Amino acid sequence: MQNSMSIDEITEMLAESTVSKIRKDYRQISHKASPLMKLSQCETQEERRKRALEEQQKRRRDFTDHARNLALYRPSETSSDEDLEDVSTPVETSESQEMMDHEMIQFYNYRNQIMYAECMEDIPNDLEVNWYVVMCPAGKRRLVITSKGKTVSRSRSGHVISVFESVLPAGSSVYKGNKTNDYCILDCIFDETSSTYYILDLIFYWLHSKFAEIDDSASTNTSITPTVTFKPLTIHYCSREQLSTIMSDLGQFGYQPDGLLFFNKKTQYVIGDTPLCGWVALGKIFEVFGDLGVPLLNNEL
Amino acid sequence: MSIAELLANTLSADQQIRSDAEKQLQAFVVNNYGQYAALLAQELANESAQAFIRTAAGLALKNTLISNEGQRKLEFSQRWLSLEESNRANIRQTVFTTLSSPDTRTSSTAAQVVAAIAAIELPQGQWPDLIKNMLDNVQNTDNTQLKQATLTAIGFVCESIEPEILAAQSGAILTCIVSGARKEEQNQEVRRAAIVALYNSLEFTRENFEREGERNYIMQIVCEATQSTDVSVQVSAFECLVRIMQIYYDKMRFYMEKALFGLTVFGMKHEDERVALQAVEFWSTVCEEEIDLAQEALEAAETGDQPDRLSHNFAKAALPEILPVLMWLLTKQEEEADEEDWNVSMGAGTCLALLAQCVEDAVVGPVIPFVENNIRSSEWRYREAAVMAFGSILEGPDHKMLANLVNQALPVLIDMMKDPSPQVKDTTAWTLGRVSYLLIECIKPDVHLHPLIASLVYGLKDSPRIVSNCCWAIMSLSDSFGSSKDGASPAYPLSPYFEGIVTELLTTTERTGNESNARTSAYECISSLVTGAALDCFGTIQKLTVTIIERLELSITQHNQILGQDERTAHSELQSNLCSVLTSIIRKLRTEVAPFADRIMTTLITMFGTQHKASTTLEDGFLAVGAMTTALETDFTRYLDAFAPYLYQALSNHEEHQLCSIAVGLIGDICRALQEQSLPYCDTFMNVLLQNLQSPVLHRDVKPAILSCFGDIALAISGRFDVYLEVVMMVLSQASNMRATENNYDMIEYVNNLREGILEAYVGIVQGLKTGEKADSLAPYVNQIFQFLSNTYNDPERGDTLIRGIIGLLGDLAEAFNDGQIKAAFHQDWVSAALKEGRTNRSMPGIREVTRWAKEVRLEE
Repeated sequence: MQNSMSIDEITEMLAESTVSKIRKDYRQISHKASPLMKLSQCETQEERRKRALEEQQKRRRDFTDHARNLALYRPSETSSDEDLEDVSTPVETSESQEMMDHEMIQFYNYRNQIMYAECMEDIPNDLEVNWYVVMCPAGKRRLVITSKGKTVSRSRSGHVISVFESVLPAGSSVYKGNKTNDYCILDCIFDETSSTYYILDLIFYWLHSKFAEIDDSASTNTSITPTVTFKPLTIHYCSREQLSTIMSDLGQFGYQPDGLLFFNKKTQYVIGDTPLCGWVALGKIFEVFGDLGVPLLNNEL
Repeated sequence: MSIAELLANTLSADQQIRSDAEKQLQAFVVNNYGQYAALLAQELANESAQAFIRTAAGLALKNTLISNEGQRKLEFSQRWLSLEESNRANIRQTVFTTLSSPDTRTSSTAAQVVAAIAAIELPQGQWPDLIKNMLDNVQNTDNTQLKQATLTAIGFVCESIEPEILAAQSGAILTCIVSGARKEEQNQEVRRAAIVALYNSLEFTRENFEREGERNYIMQIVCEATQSTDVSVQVSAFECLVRIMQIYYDKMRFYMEKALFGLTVFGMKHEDERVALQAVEFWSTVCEEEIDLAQEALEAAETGDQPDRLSHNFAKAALPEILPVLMWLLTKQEEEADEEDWNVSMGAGTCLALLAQCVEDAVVGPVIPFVENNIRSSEWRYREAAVMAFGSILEGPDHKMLANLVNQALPVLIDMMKDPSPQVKDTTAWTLGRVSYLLIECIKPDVHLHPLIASLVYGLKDSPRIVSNCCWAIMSLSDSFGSSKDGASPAYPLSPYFEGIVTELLTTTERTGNESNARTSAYECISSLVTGAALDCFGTIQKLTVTIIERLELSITQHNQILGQDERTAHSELQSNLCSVLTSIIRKLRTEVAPFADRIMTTLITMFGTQHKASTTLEDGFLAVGAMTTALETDFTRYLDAFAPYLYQALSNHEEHQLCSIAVGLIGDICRALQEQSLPYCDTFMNVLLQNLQSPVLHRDVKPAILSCFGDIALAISGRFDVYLEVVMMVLSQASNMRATENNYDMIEYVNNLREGILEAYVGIVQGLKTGEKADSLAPYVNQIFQFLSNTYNDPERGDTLIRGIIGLLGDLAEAFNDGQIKAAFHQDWVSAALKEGRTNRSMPGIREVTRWAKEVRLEE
């Protein structure tokens, strides 16, 4: 039904040239107008949705790439992609470099399992022979990656938490070794109260033998974050005596204990085999292992 | 009550009378449309009735015949055609005869009704003698009223009917129009009506335009009309030229040289502003065409092709003539610029900006002296024109050409933010916005930043338009100097000013109203600053967090006091803005948001409780929650139970597909944050998602998001996902069967999105099960997956981004079955082709890494 109109409006409407009005409106909207002025509520909303979606896709991608350890496959300045033309021709790197890459890859496949350690309810038969144990600190699980003079700390989902310089190999601009080619990836637990990254990785020890010495006293460079420290965790064999020693004094570690992480010495993983690692939370240790000869009075759990 | 009385009542000042009359008429339409239409036609034709009643009758009839909305248009058409032919014939005749009414308003209305009926009947092959009768009126009578009305009717008819329908008669129609338009026609009213009809017929007379002889004749007619003594005719003639240039640019070379160049330049100097405006618009149109053509040529060159169409470079050739005139026109501003007005000075500014984009460097030389000479003039018009000229040429020319000018002009412009003339300030604010956006490298932090920011902040206290432009400028500065990347730097050039700017922006947002989008701009500006901020701004950001939370809390309490739709919309917009700022803050602070987490989540959850089911505020609130999950990770668990009901409610609202999509995405965020701790919620999540997939009402765009979400859940709960495996695999299999019909681009895009979702689902499931040592469960589905991959890879319409997902999934499968169980599958031809494509792709970030990894993994077996 027609809207009610005054006579003047009707007359005007009939007289007005419909021809140029559309063009004029179209020009007028943009005239001396910032993009912000022209945005309708709908368009602003559309922008926000788009941004949110992009963020989400990025997080998803970080996560799946992370699980694939793609950091290892980032092309460095020295290698060229043409080398991958035919895989049967050897890549132009030194033999030791090649071997290292292959070992690294194996280690990282192994490490993946550690990231998702299942709770251990039964003690494996070969515990004392084939296993190591570490008392894990309470804190947030972080993956620390260094390369090209920067240290990056990521959450388990791959999300970057912070970027800084550290004493780790290739982790700062003053690193004495080869900043471009060297790198390391460490599984850590970050204790906020002491700003310390406790290193979980066995790989850390292997690194020591391959890279330039980690210079703990390199504090003259102010770009290295002074408050952040990296500390390895002490690895023990799993004899009853060892476990007893660990559990006898929970204050001995310098951090708040969270639970025991058990690592299998085997480095190759095949589907269907016994798991590579297990986790026993602090409160369940005595349940699983018995009292270990430790007087309960000394330990409030 | 007679129809005349009812119509009169619809125009009554009394709301009640109007409303009653409208209801009665509406009932009439529904109950006896045939009689209703006939009565209206009679009233229209009734010479003794009052003019305004006749017009109202005509318009009422027209409104039962046409509609902008497709479905309704069809209904109206069917309703009319269902009337008896005799009835319709009567009405047609009555209306047609009214074209000869001496009262112009009535005859114009009759013209509209004729066109409305024609639009329905002609495509059905009915009213075959309409055109002939109209031609008769024009060519064989002396009644100028009738001629004029008929020509107007012809114009409307041409405008609304598909060219094919009238094609056979296009020659006759054109002849008729031209006979009324040519200079021999004495009556200028008739002539004008003919020119307008010509304008409307331009699209449909394409074939005639293709023929040189006819084209020459039409162009001659139009050009002559631009020289008519009657200004309205001139204006309409120029409008025609604009439209002709738009549609038939390619054919204009000859005419440009012969006549158009001269008469349009002349027209720009015409003392009647309406003519000048059209002449300026003509050149704006030329520039737009040539900008497009230059773009096409560029794209063609990239692929080594020839472009389909070539530019005639009219603008470049005309530059020496039109540029001085445009700059002169810039000084013809209105005393009081109303936003509703469009005057020749504004038109000239627009034209200059288009010219700059078209001819690029060539525009700079002549403009510089104009700017330099006038920018300090004592007359506001010249100052404003100078700034406008400067601001207009910033896009197009090479930056190096402009750098010097910007360097000199910037200090002057900054001062002019305090100019006594409001128009000058407005243009200055816009120009500073342009400089910040287009030429950021010319802004030297140590020299310009301090005074520039001072002037922009000062501008935030000014009119809404100026506020909006200042916000735009500040955002550009933030985007350039700041960084949203992970790992903020300790400080950045805006650090010293950060707190000051944010404070002033907050004050600006407290002023009521959102004219020129000023308040929204201010909030967007705050978001932008937060996103780009350096570490030393975090203190201010934390204080800001408290302010935003407080405002959000306040807005929630005000919720019950709102009356009326307008207030409701404004309130909703405010909450949306606040949520949006909050989201930026959360994304920036990340773990440092923890101290505020309780309060933020409580406020958001309370807000959700007050929302209508389908508001955009809900969406923005959900986005804020999403940001919280990423920031808090497992610490988010404690809020999930309180929040979950709103999540499920949004998911069950199948009609609001945007909100649904965001809610689905949020499930993914929650899973990524909580990891295995999301396990207790997964049953519910999976049920809701599967239900949504089955809903017939659900918009198809939500589907890809749901599939990706399955992947997210699998990654979070790894081995535990196997209880859902069978049903999800079935869903994915069904989704894989979706195909797009050829040349249906919407459908093709949808299928690509869907496949992206399927890929993400498979990737998540494969990785998740592998981690959870349940990769064996996948064995029965390997064929299905490879089938999907093969089909997707080989699809000629495959979207560019899918290759990365395909290669990634190959690698994941190889890792999952690293004992060589599915070796054979990898030897399919397409696999090598895919890997090769990934390796050689230079443009997609990350693709080469994925490819190297996939090759490495695949070959390890």
